[in-house]
Amino acid sequence: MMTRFTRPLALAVTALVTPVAAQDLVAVRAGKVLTGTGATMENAVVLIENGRITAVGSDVEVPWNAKVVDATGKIVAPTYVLAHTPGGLSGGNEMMQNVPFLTVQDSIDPSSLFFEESLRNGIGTAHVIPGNATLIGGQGMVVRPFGKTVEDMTVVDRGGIKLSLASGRGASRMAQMRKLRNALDEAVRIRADLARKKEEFEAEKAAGAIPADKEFEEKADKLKQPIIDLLEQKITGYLYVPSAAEVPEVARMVEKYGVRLVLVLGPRCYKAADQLRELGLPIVLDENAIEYTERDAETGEETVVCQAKVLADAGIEFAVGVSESGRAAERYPWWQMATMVRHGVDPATAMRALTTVPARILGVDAQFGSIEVGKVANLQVLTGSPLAATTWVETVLLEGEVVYERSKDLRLQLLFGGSEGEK
Amino acid sequence: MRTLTLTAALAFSTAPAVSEPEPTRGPGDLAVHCGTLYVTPTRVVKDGWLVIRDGRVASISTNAPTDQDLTIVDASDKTVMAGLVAADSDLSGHGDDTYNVTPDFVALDGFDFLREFKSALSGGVTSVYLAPGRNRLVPGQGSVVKIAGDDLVQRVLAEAAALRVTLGEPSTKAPPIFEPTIFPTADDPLEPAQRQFPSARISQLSTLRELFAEAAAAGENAVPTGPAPIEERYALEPLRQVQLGALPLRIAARGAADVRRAIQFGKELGLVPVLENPADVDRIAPWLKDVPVVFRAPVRLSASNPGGGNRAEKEPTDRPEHAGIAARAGARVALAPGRTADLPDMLMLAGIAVRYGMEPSAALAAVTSTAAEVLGVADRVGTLEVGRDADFLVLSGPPLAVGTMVEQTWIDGRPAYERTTDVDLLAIRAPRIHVGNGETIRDGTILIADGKVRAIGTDLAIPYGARVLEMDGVVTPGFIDGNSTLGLSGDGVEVPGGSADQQIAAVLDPADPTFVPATRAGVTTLLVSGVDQGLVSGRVAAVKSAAADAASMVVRDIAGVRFVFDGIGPDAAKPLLAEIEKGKKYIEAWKAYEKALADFEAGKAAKPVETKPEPEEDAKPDPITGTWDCEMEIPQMGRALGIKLVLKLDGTKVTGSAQLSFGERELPEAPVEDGSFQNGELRMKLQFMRNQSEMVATVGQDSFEGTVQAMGQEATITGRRTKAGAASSSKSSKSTVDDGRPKKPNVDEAMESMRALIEKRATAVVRVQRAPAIEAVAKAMTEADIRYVLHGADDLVDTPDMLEAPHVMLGPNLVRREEGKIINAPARLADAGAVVSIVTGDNAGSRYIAEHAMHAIRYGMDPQAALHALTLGPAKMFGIDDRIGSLERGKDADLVVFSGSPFDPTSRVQLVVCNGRVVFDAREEND
Repeated sequence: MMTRFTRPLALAVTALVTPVAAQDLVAVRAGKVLTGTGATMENAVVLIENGRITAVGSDVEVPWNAKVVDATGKIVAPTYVLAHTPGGLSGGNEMMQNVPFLTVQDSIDPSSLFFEESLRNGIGTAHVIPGNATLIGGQGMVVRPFGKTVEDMTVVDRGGIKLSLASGRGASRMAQMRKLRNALDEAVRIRADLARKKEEFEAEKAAGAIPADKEFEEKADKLKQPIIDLLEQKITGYLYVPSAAEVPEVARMVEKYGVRLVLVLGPRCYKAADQLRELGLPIVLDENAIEYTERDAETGEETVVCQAKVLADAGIEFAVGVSESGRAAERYPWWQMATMVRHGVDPATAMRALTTVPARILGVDAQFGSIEVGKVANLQVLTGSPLAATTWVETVLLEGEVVYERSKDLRLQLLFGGSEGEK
Repeated sequence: MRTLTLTAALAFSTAPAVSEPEPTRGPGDLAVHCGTLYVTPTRVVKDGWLVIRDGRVASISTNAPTDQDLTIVDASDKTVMAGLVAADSDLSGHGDDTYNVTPDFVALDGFDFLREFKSALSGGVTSVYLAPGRNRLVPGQGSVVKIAGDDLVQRVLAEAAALRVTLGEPSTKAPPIFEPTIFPTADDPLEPAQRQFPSARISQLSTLRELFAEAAAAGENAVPTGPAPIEERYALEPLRQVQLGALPLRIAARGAADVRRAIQFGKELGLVPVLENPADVDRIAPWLKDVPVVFRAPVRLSASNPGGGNRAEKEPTDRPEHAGIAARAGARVALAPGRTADLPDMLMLAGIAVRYGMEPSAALAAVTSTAAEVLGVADRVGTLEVGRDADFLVLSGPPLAVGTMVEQTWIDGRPAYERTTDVDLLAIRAPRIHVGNGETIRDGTILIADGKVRAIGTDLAIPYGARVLEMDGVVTPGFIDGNSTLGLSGDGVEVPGGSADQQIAAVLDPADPTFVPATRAGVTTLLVSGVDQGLVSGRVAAVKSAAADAASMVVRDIAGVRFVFDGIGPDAAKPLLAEIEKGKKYIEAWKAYEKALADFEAGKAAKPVETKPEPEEDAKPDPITGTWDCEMEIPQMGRALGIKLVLKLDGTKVTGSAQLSFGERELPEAPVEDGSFQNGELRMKLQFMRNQSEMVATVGQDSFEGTVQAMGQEATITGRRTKAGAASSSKSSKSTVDDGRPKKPNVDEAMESMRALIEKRATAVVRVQRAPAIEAVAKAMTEADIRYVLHGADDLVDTPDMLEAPHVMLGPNLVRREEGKIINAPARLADAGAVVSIVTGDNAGSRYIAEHAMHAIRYGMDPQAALHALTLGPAKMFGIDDRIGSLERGKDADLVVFSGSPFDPTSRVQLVVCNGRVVFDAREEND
């Protein structure tokens, strides 16, 4: 129950699953099902009705009229969930540093390669939100990487609001903190001002100076309203924390303003693991924050630190991101998970960081993140272990509908000269 | 906001401490036994005890505490003082903001508490002032923190230590502000970028006055309310705090005019500001009485020196004498290094201030107590008085001495830094050192690094970390035996006769135990050769007797060639000259080759040399014998492999070799196995890349066709005989492909020895007795321009003026009696101006070389001349005096320490150093 959204989620989801009449019954025969909750089932069937999972198990009968997706000898897993990504935006970061009123709805490009890649890599849900370069960058939304319009893609139309302590654009760390504090202070004052005015209004109304049928109508500046929403916990702040040095400031913000935050950690935060555990805020490791080569400023010595391992050892749960482009390997979920496992993180924890944990952070864990009865049927069929480099995503089903098949992936065929399909 | 930061920090620091007590830390209660304890820069306690409880100084006394619960820190031969306080630094990680006035910026906000400041701690810095930015009019508030420790509350000494104001040039250059209106309308238009006040010095004070007046007027309401664009407001509260006297004012002012205005502005506000880094100190000195001043002084003058080369330069610069001038004028001076990189050298900074006129105690205070006072944190740090934080340093020596290093840094009674040294420096101190060049040093020191003498002399500063050996004897260079056979005899095997082609250096083993007795007797270098036999009697190698490995053992592999010559007559020198002549021809051959090679490589030898037909072997031509070039085609590989077969038919049996090649690359040759030739069919087994393969081929006229079974695949092979007859090896057949490259002459080791002589890399040692022979040798060698030494030369002893300053090797018999008279050959020759070397000519007996010399001294030789004959004399003779023979800077560190005079029969060897390593230490042996 980390996040609450302005529009009821179930509504949004069912609205999406309207065009399924023709194939309202789907059965996936799986060699193995990784449910995402830790359980595995051999030779099981996942039965889907109207886009939701109605049965999972090895004793489930396949109804005669069900459309069958054959994944025998293959692995069926829940699609991945990204708790924070700036992917798929076209021009998503404003040069102006304080633009809380912006929303990615105006920037998401459904034809972006990011979404195509996401399907190919088994990502079914993504919280798209402005990047780390803007102090208060605007609001995000939760989408699925399938659809021709933003409306088609929408899962939750209002996600979190992006805040960043990265001292980019010439501002120092101190200045960045001050600006963020000032923006919040201002919202506090606007709220107090409004409350005072309303009180006066009511008093005057009670005194009869104002007609009794008149309501207090003055509202805060629309441009500032999202920050007031943040103060009132109507929206969650996704705060980018570039390094451990900023963590005390996060504590101050939580203490002073009572805002609800999800921390998006940069690579150099591992030193503050203890403080982060004390804070107990949900954590997303940014795409480049799993593994970090630290160079000692004085000796020049280089050490590789796995932040994910440090946090896992400190008993902190976290979600991880994948990159949009940048360093090639980091855009693959398997690489991100395998990197963690290489450093000693338990594979189940690695898997959770892309499934159940991000779903919980986004508050959509009732729908996504695992293969359980009642959940939305977002599944991927894998040719092998999710951690292996040689594994392909064979098929992706979103809301029970097959939205990706490797055999029909034109770009892959082009890349492999057509021979890939037969293997 | 100040209280808020602290509570947040508190929330952090307490939580982990409760949940996870750190097991590695010792208890915070200590008793530090101090050789010298600087409680303050002026209060010094000798042999004192500093007791620390709960991270604070609990007591100071000269008696050891009796409490059982204290952990003892032994610094009884060290100096202990308070941790250093840097009164300025850039460690806040904060640059300059766009806005010119940001009083509410706090430097602490930018500070990274989790960063490790190893180098600063290694220099003894425990607390630093964090600057909030340097180039804005009011950049914010500076803070003071400790640079190590887990307790963040404890680490913050002052969150708001001072409000900083910058006067002069730097704060006139703030960039224009552009804060565009997001949705411009007629009422709220898009504003152009705004210039910021002040843009010249003239408006700085008035801007400041206006700001402070506004703050005063705002009073309690200095904290703004209501919605407004954030950029329009200044937080006035810190300015008001300054006026109320609750927050110190720190003004950075460089030039005299700026300093004057700073002091004037302070007067207007009714306070004395802290001056930050004034430069025109000579001119402002009269105003500095009781004014706190922070100097950022240069430590390392690696960049351009302060002052610069331009006399007309008006820009004031930081100079090391500023602190002293200000201190003499009565200012309260605090010092900080100008650059973060200089934090490790803060003690040296104080030392430099003394050099340029500051009192030592004031300079020490400038980096400790006064710095703490100026920063307003003297109740916590800066001294080690009872009740202060236990931030202290353990120093290797007096605080301001050049070689003194911080060995330990403690913060709040916990270790924050400990120095470990991996310096490979050896310092030997002795009351008398014979350098070897005739000079004697009393109470001297020899510094040894990397196997070489780095420095020698009296009053040498011993670098920190050096191993010091205090000897009470006499130091001489390591002895050289100019003629020895040590190391050449084996178990039950006598020393072989010498010859010029022996590679002596290669056969000697540095770990040979027979070297040990010689080493222990002080012989560190031996000129080793086989036993003399005949005219050319053997190569001489110069080796160390106690080297760590073969490479460091060899001083010179051909140091000399020994000859035995006693011919008399007109052509007596002929054989000797003939040897030298041979050597010259050998050199000519090589020179010719080198020239031809150079020409060839420069492409001058354009005309290819005709391939000479190899002489046909006188054998009957048969269909097989010869060289075959074959091509093998493996269908899967898609390209052909080359195979060269060199075959020989013997009856029906076929032998030879095969070589596989991929393009340019050739694999090693492999022998042909089970080869046979019957009825026109050639069968054999071949080894390719460790795979056995079988070949069957039908042979025609100088060609064959067949198949090869290899790796489970069948390949076709076709061969063509390129050369019939001689079954020469492929190597020699290769040389027939002559590309005109000149042929290298063979290396003749015997001639290499001669070449070394002629090229003056080696010395001819001629064992000679009679006068005519001596003359003949001298004449021949001089004419041939060869460096030579006479060994023996009995007749020369009788008529020393026969040659001018000859080099003579004497031994083992030095003193002989003739007709009742004692003839002391080395003494006589040395007196006559010869360069003498005393040698043993022995094997195990090399160890007694000092006794040989002793004998000569007993019968009249000057001990200095004897020492020369065991050290620099032989070194010069063999042209290796650039490395050994005396204890001069840059030479090999080979030395011996005797308990008394080296040639006193009762003296013992105490220590032997060879190649900078202590190879014998009698004190250890006795333990």
